[in-house]
Amino acid sequence: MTQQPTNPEPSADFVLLNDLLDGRLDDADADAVRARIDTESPMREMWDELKRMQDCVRGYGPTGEALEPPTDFVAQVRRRIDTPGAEAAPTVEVPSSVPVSAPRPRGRVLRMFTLAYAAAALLVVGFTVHYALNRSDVESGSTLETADTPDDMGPPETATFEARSRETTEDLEDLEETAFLQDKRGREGEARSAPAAGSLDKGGKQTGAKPKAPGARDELAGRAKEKTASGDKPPVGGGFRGPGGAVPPGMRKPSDEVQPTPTRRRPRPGESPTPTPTPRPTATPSDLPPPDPMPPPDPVPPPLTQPVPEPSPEPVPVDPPARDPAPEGEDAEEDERAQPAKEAGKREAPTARDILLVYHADDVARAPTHLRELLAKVSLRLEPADPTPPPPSPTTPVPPSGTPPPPSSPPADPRAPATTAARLYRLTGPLSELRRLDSSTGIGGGAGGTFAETAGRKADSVVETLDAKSWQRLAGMIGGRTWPPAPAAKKSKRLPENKPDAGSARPGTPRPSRGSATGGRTDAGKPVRVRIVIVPAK
Amino acid sequence: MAEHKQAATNRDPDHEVLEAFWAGDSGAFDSLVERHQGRVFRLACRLLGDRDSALDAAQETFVKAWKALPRFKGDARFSTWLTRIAINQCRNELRKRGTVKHTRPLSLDDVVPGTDSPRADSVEASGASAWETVRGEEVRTAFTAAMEALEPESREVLILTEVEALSYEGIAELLDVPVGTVRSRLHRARADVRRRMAAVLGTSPS
Repeated sequence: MTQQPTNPEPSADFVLLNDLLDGRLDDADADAVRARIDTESPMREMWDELKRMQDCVRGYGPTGEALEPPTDFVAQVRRRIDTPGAEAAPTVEVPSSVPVSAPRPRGRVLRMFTLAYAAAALLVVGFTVHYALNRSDVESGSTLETADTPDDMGPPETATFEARSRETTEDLEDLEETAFLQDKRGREGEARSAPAAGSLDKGGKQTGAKPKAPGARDELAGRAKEKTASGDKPPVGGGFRGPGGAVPPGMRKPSDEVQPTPTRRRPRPGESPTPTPTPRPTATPSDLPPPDPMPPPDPVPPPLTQPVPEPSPEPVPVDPPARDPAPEGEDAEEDERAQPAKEAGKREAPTARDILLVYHADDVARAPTHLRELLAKVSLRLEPADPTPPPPSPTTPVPPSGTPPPPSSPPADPRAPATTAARLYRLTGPLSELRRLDSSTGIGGGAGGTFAETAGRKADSVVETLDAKSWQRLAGMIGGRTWPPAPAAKKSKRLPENKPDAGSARPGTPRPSRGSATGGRTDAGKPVRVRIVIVPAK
Repeated sequence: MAEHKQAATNRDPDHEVLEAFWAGDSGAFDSLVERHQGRVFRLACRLLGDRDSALDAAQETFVKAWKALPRFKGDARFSTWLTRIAINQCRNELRKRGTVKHTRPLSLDDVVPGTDSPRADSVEASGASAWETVRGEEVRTAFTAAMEALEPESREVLILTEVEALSYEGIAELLDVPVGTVRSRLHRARADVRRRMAAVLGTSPS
């Protein structure tokens, strides 16, 4: 519908055409609509689309002989019926008067649900009581910590949890980290409150290995479980390493507390996976643990390093996030082509991740707007990954006047046939924001396969395309013509930035000179692959 | 039995076979299966998208029908009643699958379904139309993905309208929803498919 910008109410026309297609209009109305189809180009295009869609639906699914049941279908049904298990199976009540969606008798199921709800309610009550009891203990122990805390931070414990909540660190691993941080602070608070209580334990302070108070430990674990049970965010599959529960004390560096980067989870070779906590020599108020340095999400996303021009007079249609082209469908291709970019990212940050956004030719113009829309949701910075972009060449499509020009960069992988138009971006920001980008937009599934690899996968975010090897082979077969086909002429007119430059094909690629059989489209199109190197903030 | 005879009116083409089944004719049900297997199987194929799942769902539909037939009162036609069971069965199957769809990239090395040759051979054999061959396959794949991404209720209505050629009223009776709901679901399904095709291919379905 967004493709009919000249029509103030395209949906109304679409409904009219649907009714005409289904024969739901009376003769007078049908004639009027047909007259509009004959005279109005948008109506005619929509009508043609509906007719083609009708044909597609009729041919949907298995076709030909595959649509015929096997010859022994009746025998197979009879075998199923005669199977003793089938005879003993509970009878399915499908009375003729009951519609498809009508509820069915479910006495036994209802009883099971009742039991399940009762058990869940008991658990919630238990956790609540446990939490309330232990919270009072911890709060009394953290009184000293709040003394020098800035007013806007609130109690450190609360601030930490609030910050953690804002971060939307969605996996249990982060819950473990949170539990550990709280554990450590609880121990520190306990150590500081110990002198006041007249029970100084110097040995424990010097080594930093003193076991924590059981109550604080339980409180933390309970919070972690509570946070999990509250369902704030579903755990991210990519970061899930095991069931919930706090990490044993001393398993992580204190710096982990302030640098929630993926390096903590996947230590580099040579790096100690179990760093020893740094002992705190004193426990004066000046040594209060710093507030969580992870800043809250910036309500105003930082500007792009690329200047953002004024909006285009003809707005580029932007798909909702759920339609973001995601790279799930081309893992193999990504693995091949993303390697150089991954290596480039690793030179700067060992935990760089690649997200490959594939835009077909018609979507080229949408890429910058799309990225801006993404960045409006998260506090991330986007900048060209190549600090020295090559000079403008005929191979670079002219960016739209209303959208930031995507920076050019050399192809990351020579095997990728579309790399002449590839764009390499670096997306920088806190890990939590990167995850938000993933979870809120459905991009997910980076080339490394570990960047919230399952959280963003949606049925409607799949992009079908050829793998890299097949791109090359196909390019040779079709005589140097690029792939996929160019956008339609009408779209190029409406979105001049979308019009690909025929000269931008690979070196040696002859300029296509004719329209293909795909409706008068030229063959000069090419996909633009926007490669985003994810670099967590240091 | 008299209740069945009374309820199952003569307007149902399956009336006589149902009478025979209720009278104890063990072969009557086989006749019902033979009569409706094609329609049920094709509907399952379109709702589920693949033949194997459709075959299983269609057979399970008849098994459930056989179990429930003693309680069939003839309030609706047998074919309508059977279609309800089939749709329910397909819904269950789709629910098992979940909503995550992963489509793999097309590879020219893949074997073309229904043949033993890789896709590359078919593309090369098509010569000058190689472009259109692959393009057409891409369109079909995108359309299939768009259909699979539809809400099950929308997909059902779309298929029942276009493939089964049922009227709004017939679908409304089958699904027990108002006619307006059928209409809105249908329009939404078409708009969704159109939008998804445009998003993936940059073109409309062709």
